[in-house]
Amino acid sequence: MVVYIARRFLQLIPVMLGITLITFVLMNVVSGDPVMQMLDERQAGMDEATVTTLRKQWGLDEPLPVQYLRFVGNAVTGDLGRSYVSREKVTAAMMARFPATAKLGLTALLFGALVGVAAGTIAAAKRNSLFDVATMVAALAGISVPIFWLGLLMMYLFAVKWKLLPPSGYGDGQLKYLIMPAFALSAGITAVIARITRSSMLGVIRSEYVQTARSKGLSEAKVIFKHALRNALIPVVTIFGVQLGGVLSGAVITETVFNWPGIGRLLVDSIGKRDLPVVQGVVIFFALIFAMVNLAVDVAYAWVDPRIRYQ
Amino acid sequence: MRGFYRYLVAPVLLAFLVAGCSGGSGAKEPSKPAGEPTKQESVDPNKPIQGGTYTKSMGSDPQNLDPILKSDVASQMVTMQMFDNLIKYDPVAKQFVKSLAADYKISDDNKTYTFTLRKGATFHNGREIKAADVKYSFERASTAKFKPVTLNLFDKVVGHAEFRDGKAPEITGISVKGDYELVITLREPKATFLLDISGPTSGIVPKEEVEKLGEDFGQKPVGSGPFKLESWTKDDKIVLAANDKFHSGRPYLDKVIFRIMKEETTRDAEFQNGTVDSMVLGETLYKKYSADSERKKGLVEVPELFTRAIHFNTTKAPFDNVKVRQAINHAIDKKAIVEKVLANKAFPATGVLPSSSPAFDPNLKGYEFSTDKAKQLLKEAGFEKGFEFEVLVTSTTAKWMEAMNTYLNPLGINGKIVQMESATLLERSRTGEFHAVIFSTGGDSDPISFLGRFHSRNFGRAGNVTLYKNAKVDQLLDEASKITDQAKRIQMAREAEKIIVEEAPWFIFNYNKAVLIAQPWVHGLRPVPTDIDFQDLSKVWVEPKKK
Repeated sequence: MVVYIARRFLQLIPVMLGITLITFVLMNVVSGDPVMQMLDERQAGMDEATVTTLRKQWGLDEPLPVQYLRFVGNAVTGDLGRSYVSREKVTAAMMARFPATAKLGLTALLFGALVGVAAGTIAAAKRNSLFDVATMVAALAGISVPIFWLGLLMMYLFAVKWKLLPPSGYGDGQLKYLIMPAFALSAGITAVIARITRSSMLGVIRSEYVQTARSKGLSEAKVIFKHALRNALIPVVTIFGVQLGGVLSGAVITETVFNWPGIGRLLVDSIGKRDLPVVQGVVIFFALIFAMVNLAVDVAYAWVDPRIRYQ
Repeated sequence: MRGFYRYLVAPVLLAFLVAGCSGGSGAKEPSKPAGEPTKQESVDPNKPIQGGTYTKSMGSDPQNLDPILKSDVASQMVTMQMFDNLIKYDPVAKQFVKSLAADYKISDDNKTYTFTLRKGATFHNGREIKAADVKYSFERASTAKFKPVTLNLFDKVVGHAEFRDGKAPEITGISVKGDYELVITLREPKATFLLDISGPTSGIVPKEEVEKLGEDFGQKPVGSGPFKLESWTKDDKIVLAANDKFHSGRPYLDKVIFRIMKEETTRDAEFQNGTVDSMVLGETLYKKYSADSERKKGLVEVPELFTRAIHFNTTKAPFDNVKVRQAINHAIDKKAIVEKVLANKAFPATGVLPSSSPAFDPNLKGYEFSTDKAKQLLKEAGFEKGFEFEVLVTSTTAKWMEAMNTYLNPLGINGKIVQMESATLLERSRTGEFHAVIFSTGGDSDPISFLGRFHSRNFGRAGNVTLYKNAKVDQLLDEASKITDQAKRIQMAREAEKIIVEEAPWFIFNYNKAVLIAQPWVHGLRPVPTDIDFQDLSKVWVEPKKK
């Protein structure tokens, strides 16, 4: 297992290089001079001499391959450069926002996993019952309803009309600010996990070893939760991993609606402003997160199913 | 398993109970701001109260709080509270006010400015401000290694070019005479020099803090203004605290909080909740609050110094033909579009200069709406059957163009809408890759600077995106830039504007009506024409709120 993990880390190097190269090319292909983006939309302009000087100061007058290699060389030492727009260090900009994204994402994921697995398991155990039907209808709604619509509705009801919760913002980290955005984000996650759990459980419940366990006189709860669920979790772990990568890379819509200062908003804003250093830094960060999550998911497979072994 | 369901029923029933018990009688309640003052606490609006916190919503996070680096509205809203200048310009009263300079004198030839600094004025770190700090700040704004947004703010000062190009260690035209006297000598008179040094880029900074923080100065700025930075949580909020030692007296407010909220709906929810004290309104919310008899009392409106227009590329057919441009100006009923599409949150334009400009000409009638005149001009230009052209728009301005097309289509003209994000639109407009493009431009208090968008030396990125050229306009603008007699400058500006309107490089659409709405406990907000967000918060105060 250790060798396997080490090999996976080494594989990251060409992956990172490929990602940075693609990002760099795309950002340079998309029109928009970063120097001109420093101006406010309503300002007249910038004289050519100043544009030339600023491009030189930022190193933008160098050939593109030179710019890329300089970026890679600095990135290896942990220096992702500074934002063209805010002049802030890219690493500082990301680290200032990542805790908020992690807090929101992990809360939504935890809620989604607990409720989704529980609901899906029970729905499978009570197939075709009222609970099963209700769960699947709720899951369909959770997947179908746009987050921005759900978020705005919750904001209107819980904040404006009933004044139970604050409408938006991070609020120095208090729990009451987290409730609505986490719930809105978790709606789709819970729905997906519930459906996958139910499908997987339905397959496992019919297997022979489960029938054997029942015939031995074990309680239904033990049969379902001790014997069936563990085997049904493999596809759930996969989905969980995908969702984990997704929420940690920033739920942009949720962050925008609820004014949550996360990393997803940083990325979208930076693309709009042609802030290449930030875009590259954040994309590298996301790639690392997804790689780590994928590795964790693979390791989790081995824990869930002892038949799986890595070499 | 059956036992399990018990645990689900209770929370579900509870949820329905909560939903059912709330919501009131169903009768419509009048709009009532949350947190309004109690009746026994009613205050005299002419007697400001010390203390309290003012919370303002803003649509984006400031880019950077270094005076020489910021260019966006959000950054300027904050830096103008934190940094001080030798003099300040009051765009409402249209006059200069001494600030760090206790006094100043201008020589008869308008080339030498002598400033005497206030004694005892300090930076937020406690150190007294000296004349050398002003020289350092102005030289820093002209130094390429700091990557300022403009290097040429002081281009008329003797020795600027040599310093900027690295050929001299200082700007020789800025002389420090002792601790409190500064003399600035120009190569030639510059009419906007006082405006330049009163602007946000000329905010005075402490050298030791800049050198200590380096490029991070913009994240942890130190100024000398009425407010200082207490905290900045990115994409969430900026908190400013009162500067107790501000030379003109402590501001009324204890704190100012700028809360960053991208979505208008979110800002509105916070405002209705009473957790935000003011916000800028778009068309939809303007319509809503204008119709609210209570809330409309809190509206602050002003025609901003911004003109919205279709900019024609005068070097590309058919817009290289002046008659075509004039025809389009006649063809569109801008008054009707402002009324129906913009919900009257704008003023139909007559000339290039907005109605809040000191050089606004009330006698300039512009183009009347006349389909017959439009047809005649198109016939003379050889486009009787009409034509199609591409027009670059954003998601906001797309609907304007759709409305304009309802007037153009009957004439055979169609503006083919090409929608794109703002950054790409501006890039293409500045590089001439367009036939027509819609955007808002302006912000200059000085009319000659405003009209600089039509000078032929400013083609492309420098602002003249239409590539319009007229020798007489160039001459008028060049001469006016050297004259300090305000009346004469206004006359020359109007003369230039008349030519520009006649030659119609723009379809001049409207002047933005900027609208701010404030809670009833907020006082001191003013109709600032440069941008309604550019409030002097040292003059704003709030009533104590009901707990």
